[in-house]
Amino acid sequence: MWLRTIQVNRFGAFRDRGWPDLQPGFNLLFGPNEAGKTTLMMFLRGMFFGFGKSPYDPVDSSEPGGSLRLRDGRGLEWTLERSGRGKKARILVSGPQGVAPGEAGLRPLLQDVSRPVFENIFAFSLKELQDLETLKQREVQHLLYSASLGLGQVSLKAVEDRLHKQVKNLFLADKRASAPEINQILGELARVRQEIKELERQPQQYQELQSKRARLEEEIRQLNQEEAQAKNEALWLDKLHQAVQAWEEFLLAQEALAALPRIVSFPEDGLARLEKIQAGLAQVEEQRERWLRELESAREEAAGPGPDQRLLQAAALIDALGEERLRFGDREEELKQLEGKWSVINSRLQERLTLLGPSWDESRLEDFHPTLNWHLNIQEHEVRLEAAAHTLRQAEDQRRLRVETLQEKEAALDKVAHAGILQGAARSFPWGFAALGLVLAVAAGASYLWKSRDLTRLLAAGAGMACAAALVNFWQLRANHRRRLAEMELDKQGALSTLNAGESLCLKEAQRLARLREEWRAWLENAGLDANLSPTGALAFIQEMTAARSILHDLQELARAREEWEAYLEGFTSRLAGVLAALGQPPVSRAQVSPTLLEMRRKVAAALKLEEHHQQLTRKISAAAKELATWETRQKHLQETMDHLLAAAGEQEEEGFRRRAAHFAAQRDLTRKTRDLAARLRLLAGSEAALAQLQADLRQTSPEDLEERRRRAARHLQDLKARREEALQLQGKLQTLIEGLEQTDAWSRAMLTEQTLAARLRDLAHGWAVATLSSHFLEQARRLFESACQPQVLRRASHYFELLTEGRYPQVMAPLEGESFQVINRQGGHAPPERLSRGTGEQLYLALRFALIREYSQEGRSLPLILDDILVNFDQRRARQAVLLLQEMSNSHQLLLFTCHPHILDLVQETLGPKAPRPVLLEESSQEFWGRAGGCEPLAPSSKTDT
Amino acid sequence: MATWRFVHAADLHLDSPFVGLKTYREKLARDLMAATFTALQRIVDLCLEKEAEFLLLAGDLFDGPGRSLRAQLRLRRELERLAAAGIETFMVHGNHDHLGGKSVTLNWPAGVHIFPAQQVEMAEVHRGGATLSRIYGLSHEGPEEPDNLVRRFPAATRGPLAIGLLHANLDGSAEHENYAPCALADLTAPAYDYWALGHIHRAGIRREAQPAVVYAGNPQGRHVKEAGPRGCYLVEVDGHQVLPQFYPTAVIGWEEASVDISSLENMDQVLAALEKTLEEHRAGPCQEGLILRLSLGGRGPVHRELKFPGALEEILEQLREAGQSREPWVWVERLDAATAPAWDLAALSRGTDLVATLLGQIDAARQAPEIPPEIRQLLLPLYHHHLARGYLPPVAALDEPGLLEEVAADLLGLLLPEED
Repeated sequence: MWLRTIQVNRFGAFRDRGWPDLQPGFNLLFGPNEAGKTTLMMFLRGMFFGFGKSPYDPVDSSEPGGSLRLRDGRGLEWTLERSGRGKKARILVSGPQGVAPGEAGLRPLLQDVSRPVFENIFAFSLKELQDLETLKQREVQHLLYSASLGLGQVSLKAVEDRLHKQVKNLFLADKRASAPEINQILGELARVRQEIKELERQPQQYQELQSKRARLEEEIRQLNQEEAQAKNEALWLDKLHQAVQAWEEFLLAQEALAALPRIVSFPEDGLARLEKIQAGLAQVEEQRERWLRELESAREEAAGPGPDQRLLQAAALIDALGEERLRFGDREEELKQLEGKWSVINSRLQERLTLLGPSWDESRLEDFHPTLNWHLNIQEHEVRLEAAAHTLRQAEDQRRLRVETLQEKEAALDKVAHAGILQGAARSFPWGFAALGLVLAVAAGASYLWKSRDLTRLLAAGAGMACAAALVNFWQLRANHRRRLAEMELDKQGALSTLNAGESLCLKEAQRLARLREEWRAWLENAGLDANLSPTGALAFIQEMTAARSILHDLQELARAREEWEAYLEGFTSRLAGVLAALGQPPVSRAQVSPTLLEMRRKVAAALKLEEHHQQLTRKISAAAKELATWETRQKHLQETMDHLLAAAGEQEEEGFRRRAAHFAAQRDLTRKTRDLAARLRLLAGSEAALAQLQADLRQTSPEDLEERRRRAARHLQDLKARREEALQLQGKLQTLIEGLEQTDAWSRAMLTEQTLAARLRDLAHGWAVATLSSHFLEQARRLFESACQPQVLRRASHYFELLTEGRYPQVMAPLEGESFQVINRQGGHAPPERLSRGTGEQLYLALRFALIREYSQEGRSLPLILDDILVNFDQRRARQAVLLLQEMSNSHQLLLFTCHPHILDLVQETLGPKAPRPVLLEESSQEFWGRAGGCEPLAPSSKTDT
Repeated sequence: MATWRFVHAADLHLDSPFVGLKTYREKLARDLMAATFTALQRIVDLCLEKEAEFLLLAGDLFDGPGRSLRAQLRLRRELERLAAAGIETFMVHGNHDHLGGKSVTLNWPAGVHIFPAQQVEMAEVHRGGATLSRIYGLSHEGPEEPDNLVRRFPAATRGPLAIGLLHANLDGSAEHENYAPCALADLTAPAYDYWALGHIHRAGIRREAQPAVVYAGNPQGRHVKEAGPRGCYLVEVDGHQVLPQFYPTAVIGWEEASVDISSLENMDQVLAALEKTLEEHRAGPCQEGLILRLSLGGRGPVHRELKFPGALEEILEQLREAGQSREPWVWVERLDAATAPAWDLAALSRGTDLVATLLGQIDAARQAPEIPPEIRQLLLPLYHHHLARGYLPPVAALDEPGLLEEVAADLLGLLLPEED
């Protein structure tokens, strides 16, 4: 597609402005500053893709708009008209097939090139050329970086980073690095090797320790010997120390012994024996006097009055009576109760006798003996009498009923005879039927009145039938009445004959009853009972009489008991009287029996006690006399013993005996002491020879010297002990160290640790080698791929850039996933665009854009190129190269190159020569700038420049 | 004379650590530290039980010239047990515990004969007034004995059983440093009856008779490459005829196992397969435990989950828990995942994208005869680190193609996670 004409209605400072027709190839549009170059480019962008709010809005606030005449690749002409902004814009595309309104009509013309692509690739100014950002549109990026790594979603950079990280995490050659795993293991290995090196000294240490221990053992042996000697010395001195006191006492005892008179013999334990005898004598004397006093006292007491012998003789009887005293009291009391009870029962008997009748007293009652037959006879009589009376009552009742029956039958006959026929059927059917007939007749009348003929007929028929039924019934009733009167008469005659039979039965039964009553009265008289008694009364009388007999018997029993108790009491009282008589005392009444007995028993007890006391005194006198004799014998014996003792000591008197005893005891003690002390010294010394040495040392050593020697010896011994202890401790330590060395597995453990670390090191080193080589090969592959497998766009851009830079930069490269391009110079050096000069950078971007334009072109998308003064920063040579390139591009695209620089016009002219396009002046004054109006297209006649 | 017997052991490497464990627990550590000592104790128990006439120890009793005190004390204690039973011990030192070391040596009990370096010495064993055996022995003077020491051994004289006791590398075994190298022909020259050799850790009878040439191996394996039976020989002697019989002494066994993930679809199946493998591996009859190295290999869909951070560690922890609860215990030493996703590398390489470029570069490096200098240079900071290099393989060892394959797999895992 290319532009033929441009007509601005309203845009920026343009108003109804037009320009000469444009050509399909290279168009050079010249105008000085503010001639409207950029405004025109912005107008064209707006015409294709819409106007927005911008600094190029019409100055009079009217809507921007204009029209373009276009020609497509097939040579067909189109007119695009647009006015207004945004969605409210009015768009009209008219072509060979007619008019198409709106953006839809425009899209085929623009060949689906987007606004960003058009503005960045097809229509750009110098400023946009310099801006790399304009190449970062997604669509553009796709074309620039379409080279396929074949990695899908995998990021090459992420893989590279991962490998680098892996390598660094495993090992860093820097000596200071300690974090990577291998560095850590190497650190550990260095430590373990150092430990092993130290452990290698173990055998030597062991040998040294063994030698040291042997020396120490010898030292300890010597110390033990010295200590044993020192101990012996200290022990001897201790013995001397212990012997000093004994030795001194020994000497003193020997001296005292020499001063005492020599007594060869003395009774053994003489003094003790003397004192014992004397103590015995004193004790015997005391006992003898005591028993003498006892004897005299008993004899004196035994001389007093004795007990009443009569009382003592009667003591057994009194005691027996006394034992029975309570029983006596009980019987006495019981007798009183018996008498009370007898009186009560007697009163009851009298009452009974009174009830039985005046003819009855105790003797008759005693003689009356009712038998069991009596009861049977009475009951038999009673049954017979009652049966006869009952039969009579039944016969009379029967007769009375028959009289009533006869009377009823007669009354009934009379009643029926007088009543007639209908009365008997008063409640019978004829009345019912008659009443029904009457009701139906009334109902028929009523229904007639209600004008219901059918119902009237029906009711009248019913009434007739009811009356007929009543008449038939009456005749049946009359026949029945006559038959019934005859039956009733016959019945009455039967009842009369039955009554007569009953009368004769009653008479017969009354006679029988009278005969039985006579028999009963005869029986009563025979039994001695009142003849007027009924059988029931006779039974009650007999029962009452039996009860009276029982009371009589109770009374008799009480009388017998009373007599018995009375006899006992009397006997007891007599026995007491006998005893009293024996004691010369008068008898007492029954009431005094108990107190008298109590008093007598008390007296007997006192007499017995006095008797016992006298017997005791007798025994006491006898015993005291015996004891007295014994003690006097013992006293005599002791005195003789003492005399013998004194004689044995050669003394007459006790005092002399005692003095001699004291001397003998002192002599004996001193002798024993010297002997004991000598034995102690011998024991301390340990042997006879040592004793001699001990005594010799004791004679020669003062206690003070001895003490000093002991202190020295103790210090020496302590010193030896401390040295030995120290040596033993050292020996223990050495032993511990030796045992520790013998048992330690530190070497084995360190060696195992070293080998374990080595194994891990080998694994990690292998992993590091793999990661390092992976990283290396990936880097190499990447470089190779980058150089050999760039996308077509970049290859074309490389061609253009090489052309523009006259071969200085043969290649433009897009790194795989890189952020920016890289240019490769002739020497193969890589550089990012930022490091290029401004002009070279613009040439790079121009090359990239042209390559992209070519790529679009190959896709059949060819739009006009509008370049706004893009060559100003190019040096002369590269500008010339650029013009040649523009010329080449204009072969396939319409190209509008705006410039305000006359030298650009000249350059184009010079470079292209006859092929150079005629410049189009954007305003009249442009010619003055260039100075060669002849070669320029004139402005359109209708144009009016007000920019 | 009736038959009699002696015990031949070597390479005790007492108190030497187990190699390759990345971690351990306290009980395991105690068992590991005690293992070489327990193995020694079993050798001594064997001597006592079988009433051996003597014990031969063919060098490398200790792991280094700096002998640990504990090792010496324990050895002395065990040899005292033998001495108390009237059993003599004859021993030489090897390249690890050579006599040129400055280590202090403890006094050995009576009945222990240590052969010197430089010159072969002969010791006789007498029983009942007669000479039972003559033992010729020579110790290493330094850590790297270059000479064929066998040639210094004199010819045996006629008479009792002649035994050569030496720490030597027979026929240049590549598995061990080539110190005191010798050939089988050298050993036949002195006309001994039995060569009791040490240095090669795998037990084996190299020659049956005239002379019998026997490596006792080490009595306790200390890393995964020392899997298999470990012990000593009880040698039955009848005149000049010898019959060595192997007796296992190792307390802890080593084993390796691999699980292919190709047919596994999820992590549960991976765990189940590993647990099954764990169940299939058990310590030997006289062993207290087993150290098991597990690895996952092959290509399969679970590769992606296995690469999740912590996934392998979690499985390993579960396996360890299971192994520790067993009796005898099993300690899963490590769980490596040399797995790969189901990528079509050829198809990826044919592409035009970054991955194809990358694979092309790595492939070019793999095709190169050795790792290019600039790549080698990248690894030097660590692999030539003054401390680390003692524990790491030489950089040259990284030429192995496996490393670059791992690099490729690592990068593909990062760049194409959705295709894992």
